[in-house]
Amino acid sequence: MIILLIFIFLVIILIDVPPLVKQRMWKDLAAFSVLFIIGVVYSLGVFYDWPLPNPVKGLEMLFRFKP
Amino acid sequence: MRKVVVTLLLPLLLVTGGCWDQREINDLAMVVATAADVVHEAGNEQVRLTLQIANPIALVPGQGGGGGGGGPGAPKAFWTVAGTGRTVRAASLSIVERIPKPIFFGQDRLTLVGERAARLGITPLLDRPLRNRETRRSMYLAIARGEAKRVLEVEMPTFRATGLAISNLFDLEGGRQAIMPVDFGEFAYNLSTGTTSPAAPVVEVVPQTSISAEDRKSLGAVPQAIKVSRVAVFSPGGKLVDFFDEKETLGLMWVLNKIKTREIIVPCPVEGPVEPVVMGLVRSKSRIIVHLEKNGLPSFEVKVRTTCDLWEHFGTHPGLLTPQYYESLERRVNTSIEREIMHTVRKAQSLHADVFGFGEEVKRQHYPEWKRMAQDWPEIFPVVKVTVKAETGFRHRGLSVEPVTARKEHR
Amino acid sequence: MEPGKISERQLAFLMLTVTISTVIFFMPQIAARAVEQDAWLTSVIATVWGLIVAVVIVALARRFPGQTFIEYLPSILGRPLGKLVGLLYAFWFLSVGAFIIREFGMFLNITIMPQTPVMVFVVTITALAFYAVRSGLETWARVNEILLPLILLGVLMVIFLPFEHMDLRRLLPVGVHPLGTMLVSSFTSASWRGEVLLAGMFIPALVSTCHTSRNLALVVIIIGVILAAVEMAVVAVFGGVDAGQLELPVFSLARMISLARIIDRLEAIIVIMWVLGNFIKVCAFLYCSVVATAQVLGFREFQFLLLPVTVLVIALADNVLEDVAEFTDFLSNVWAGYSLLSFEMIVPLLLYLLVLVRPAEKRGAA
Repeated sequence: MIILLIFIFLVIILIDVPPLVKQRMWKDLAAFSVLFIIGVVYSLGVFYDWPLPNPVKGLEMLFRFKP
Repeated sequence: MRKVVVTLLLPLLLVTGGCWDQREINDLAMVVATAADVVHEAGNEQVRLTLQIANPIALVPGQGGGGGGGGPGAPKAFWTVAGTGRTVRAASLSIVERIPKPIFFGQDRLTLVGERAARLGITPLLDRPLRNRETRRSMYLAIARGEAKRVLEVEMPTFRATGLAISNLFDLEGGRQAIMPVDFGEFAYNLSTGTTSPAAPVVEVVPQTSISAEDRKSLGAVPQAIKVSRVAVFSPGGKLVDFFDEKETLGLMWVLNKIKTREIIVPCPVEGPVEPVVMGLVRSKSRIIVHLEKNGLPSFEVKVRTTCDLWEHFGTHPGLLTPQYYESLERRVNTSIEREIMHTVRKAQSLHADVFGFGEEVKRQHYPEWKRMAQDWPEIFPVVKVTVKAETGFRHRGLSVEPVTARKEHR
Repeated sequence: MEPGKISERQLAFLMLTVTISTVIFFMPQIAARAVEQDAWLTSVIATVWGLIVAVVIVALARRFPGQTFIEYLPSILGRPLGKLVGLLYAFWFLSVGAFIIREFGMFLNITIMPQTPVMVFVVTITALAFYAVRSGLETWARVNEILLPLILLGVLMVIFLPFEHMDLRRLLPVGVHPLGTMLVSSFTSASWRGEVLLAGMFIPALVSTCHTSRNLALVVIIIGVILAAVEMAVVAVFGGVDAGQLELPVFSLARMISLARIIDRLEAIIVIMWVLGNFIKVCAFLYCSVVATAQVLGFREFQFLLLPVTVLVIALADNVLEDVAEFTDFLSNVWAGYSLLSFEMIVPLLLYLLVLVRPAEKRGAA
């Protein structure tokens, strides 16, 4: 399962990164990398039960609406 | 390239039907009726669940033993199995050990609850059927006189499984005489109001009234059959309080708009009770109007509008053709309906059981006042004033004008 | 940014699908729990809030023709603050998208496939949405034109076919609950209606904009009517108290349908409606989060961000709201604050007021 996941990530990199590098769009590549790394970390966190911060918990505290 | 990929992916469709939840209908044990009893076992109260599982081969007419009435080698139409446990779910788990197929409740049409279980409180037995995604709220609910298990064990060769027979009876004959079908949705609704007393039909096991000469020779005991009639009345909290008799049930069915068709026997206006006249009900519609009295209590006016046909008349007195005669028949029908309803009202008031949903009607029509009296409703209901007003319209008298002998008598 | 063009009708259909595909499943329970038989009234009140969102978003778009909501934020708020708010909006689209995807899987678990892992549904729908969004806005806007009539037909069947079990007297007494409770419930109801905010991201892709505000207002009203009808049907069948105690009352409603024991077991309609509607809804939110992210960061293209955002949304979907109790709690107590009372209504309203009081700056920026 984890191998499949990593395989999918590699495919994504292979599809998206070369054109960006070729056209020297470094800023775009940076944005891509940041988003992608967050995504990868969270996906792997699912598999290995890493204690990642859950954004929803914060949202719930902030926006709880109970008059 | 694209075509190759699509072709490679297509066979995958064959294995994707249903994902993890794929089930073949042949692999399922199809439950058609369940019965829940509460029994005293091993020192404590246990739920005993009885499942009636249909034999799909016997259900197909013309094949197997279904149509032939069941010779010695014919497959049985159904099979019953029982298990006990602390809860309904636990009881059904103990059944799993005895059936080689997964139990499927999707075709369950009837749940029977034993008398004792109903007296102890029906609510814990209803949670599982209401929560389960297989069973439906349109499933019928009935209360068994005595043990519910015995009802499912009765064999009715012509009608296959008892559970199917009872649910068919409700489907086709519901609203005739004192057969009042109640489904889970309605029962749950009444329980959810907190003031209305739910009612559910009663099923009993009775001796078969007629058997073939051959059976009489071969069978030792009289075979058993089932009878569906009357209702059991619950407290708003879901505990069986009492049973209504046939007349009281009929009175209740007027108010709940549950009557489809029935006969009303009234004494002949001319010759009195010796020549009863049978009027046939075509349709009826009732409505409850709430008035507030000066002392703050509500009073109820039940209005029933019905349409009747003449079904049976054998008195041969003069005046049969006059409209006035039929008007007096209408008046007699009105009185008969009003009496029936009042009879039920008195019984319900003596039981402190608001089976009519009078409380709900107060809530709907006088909400501010209802908020005051909702808490004390069980004490208020027995003392409220109820009046009944029936209005009957006569329609036709079938294919005869007068009894055949009438002309001769008049001469 | 968006090469495709859509018609005004396609936008209206899109907004209808986006809002209707989830609200009719969750709102009846929340409304009935709060105000029992008056549930449908909250839907009527919520239409007012929905109309405010629709009118404001179109008015803003009129001021900045050819720009999406995210693009004109810096023109109103100034560059740093505008970018920050834009980023918050991008996250909002992303997180709501993740909720929807998770909710999609949870619904199928409850209703038809209890054994299937939720991630199977999550990955499938997101992959499908990814494929659709990659094919371009025009493509899935057109697909939606085929799907919406099917969804609406399903909704109508579910509203009218259980008529045998309906007792309209269960809707009485009308309007007896305190106004405050109804208003709070209407905020939740309008939180879904407020999703017409997404139109702010699509308006620049429109061929013409002469009927946009009329269309969006109609969308809000139509959804109000449908939602009110669904809530009335649910209450008429189950009663006000019981409707609030049912998980997914509309699913139970479809299960009541039985016409002469022939037209029977129609809950599949519900599942079909759910899958079709949610596919478009996920597409819309995925598209908006990608486009918003790209525009906040100042890129002219957004396609290259689609894959990482898809991965992110799947990962988030697995992290948000693990069980149905958390979900119901979120929808009834947090959702209104997170959407209508902040991102959907209040912020756009404030933005519009800012535009009104500072007309000169606006001209300079445009």
